Amino acid sequence: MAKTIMIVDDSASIRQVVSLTLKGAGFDVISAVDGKDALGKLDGVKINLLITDVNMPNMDGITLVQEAKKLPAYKFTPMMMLTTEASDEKKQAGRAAGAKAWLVKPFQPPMLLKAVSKLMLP
Amino acid sequence: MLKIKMNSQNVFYLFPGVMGLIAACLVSWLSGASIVISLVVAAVLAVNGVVVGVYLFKILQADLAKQAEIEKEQTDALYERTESYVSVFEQLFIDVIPVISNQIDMSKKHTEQEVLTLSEKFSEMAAQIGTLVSGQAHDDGHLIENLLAGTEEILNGVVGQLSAINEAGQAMIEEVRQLSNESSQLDKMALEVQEVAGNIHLLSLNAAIEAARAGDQGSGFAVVASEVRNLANTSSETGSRISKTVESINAAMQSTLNTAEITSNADKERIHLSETYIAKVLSDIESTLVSFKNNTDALTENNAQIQTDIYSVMTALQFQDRVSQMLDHATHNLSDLSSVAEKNRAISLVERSPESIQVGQLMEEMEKRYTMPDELLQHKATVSGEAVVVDDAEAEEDDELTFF
Repeated sequence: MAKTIMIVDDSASIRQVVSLTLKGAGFDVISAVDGKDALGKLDGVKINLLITDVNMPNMDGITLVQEAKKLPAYKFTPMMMLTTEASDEKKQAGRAAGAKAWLVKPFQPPMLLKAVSKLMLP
Repeated sequence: MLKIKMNSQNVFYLFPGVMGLIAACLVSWLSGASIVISLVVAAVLAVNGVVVGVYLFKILQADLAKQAEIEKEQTDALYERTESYVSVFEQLFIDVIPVISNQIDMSKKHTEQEVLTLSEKFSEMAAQIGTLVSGQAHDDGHLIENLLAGTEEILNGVVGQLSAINEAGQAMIEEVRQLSNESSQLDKMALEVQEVAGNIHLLSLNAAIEAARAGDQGSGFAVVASEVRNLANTSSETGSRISKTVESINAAMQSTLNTAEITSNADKERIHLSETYIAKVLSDIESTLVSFKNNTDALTENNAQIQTDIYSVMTALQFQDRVSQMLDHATHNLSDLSSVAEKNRAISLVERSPESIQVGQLMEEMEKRYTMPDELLQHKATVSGEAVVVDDAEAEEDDELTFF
């Protein structure tokens, strides 16, 4: 069974590029446009990894990670941030929320795959 | 001593008064008049001085008042002009900023749309290339040889079947030829029969002659000889009929043989042609397949380069996201400017002060809003007047990806 990854980003072209990278490596991909949309789509669906942008309308990425971690189904699901932000304070906020990795945009596809393989539970 | 406040009014009064007093004293001392007269004269002159002083002061005051009025008029006019200028300037901000904002918004939407289309098309292409290249990687290298060998086997099998049919035909022709030989044997035998019959006939004639010679004793023999003669005749006829039958059989077989041979030769010719044609077709297929394989081999060799190129494009396409964010921030910054103009418009010019526009705070808000490190650097460099350094160097791997 192919593993499923969810990508959350308000930019359509980012979702496009991430999707292409992950699908090329054999993963199934679910997309969402912001935190609120993501929570709606997460309703019981099994995912193996969550990748989210930080700055989004309706609900930002860090809040999304906090909220998702509260749900029993996703308490142990690995989550990572994919964002243009690079400041240490933001990174600390992400870490505190429960994220396991921080990848700065623009990203090289091999980097994303490296992060995915490291975080993905066997 | 009396402490007299030294303001301009008092100087006007005192100065002439004092001068008058001094003048009177001098005059009285010089003229040698009596003390009383001197004092009276001194007093008169002093009072005179004060009166003149008061009068002069009043004139001066009137002049100053008039001047003040003129200046006030000028100041009011300047004030009005300044107020309306500021108002117009503010209106400029309020009118122009939304226009610029909308232009930025339109650019943003346009870029988003076009890049999305571009990246969708690119995704399709990349997926196709990926399939082709990974398919190529699984080829064991013997695909073409196996394909050709298989095809050759089938085609040769077909030719073999045709040859077998042809050979069966040949065998049949041989058998018919054999039959033909047999029937010519029959023919010989038929002739022999006739010969024998002829001999028997002769014999019977001789027998009849002998029988006649024997007279009555030979009559029984004559009958036998007659019967033998009949028999010989019948045999001869039979022999003749056999000959005729054999002849027609021979004719039929010969005809069949001719046809069969012609057909068989034609078939052989066709089979030979087919073999030649098949060989040519196989050779054509082989060269096409080899050419195809060479092309895909080249593609596989470039696989690593292609993959790198695909990744580069995917990294580059992400620019649109950054541009959108920067344009959003620019729009926000403009809207902040607009708010400042609107807020200050409500306050009358008199109550305003430079402190009501907090440039520092405004700049800080802008700085907080940025989401990318180079945006912040660009802002700070612009503010400090330094040249903006665009850093094209690749970010360190450590900077890009952090694990917690």
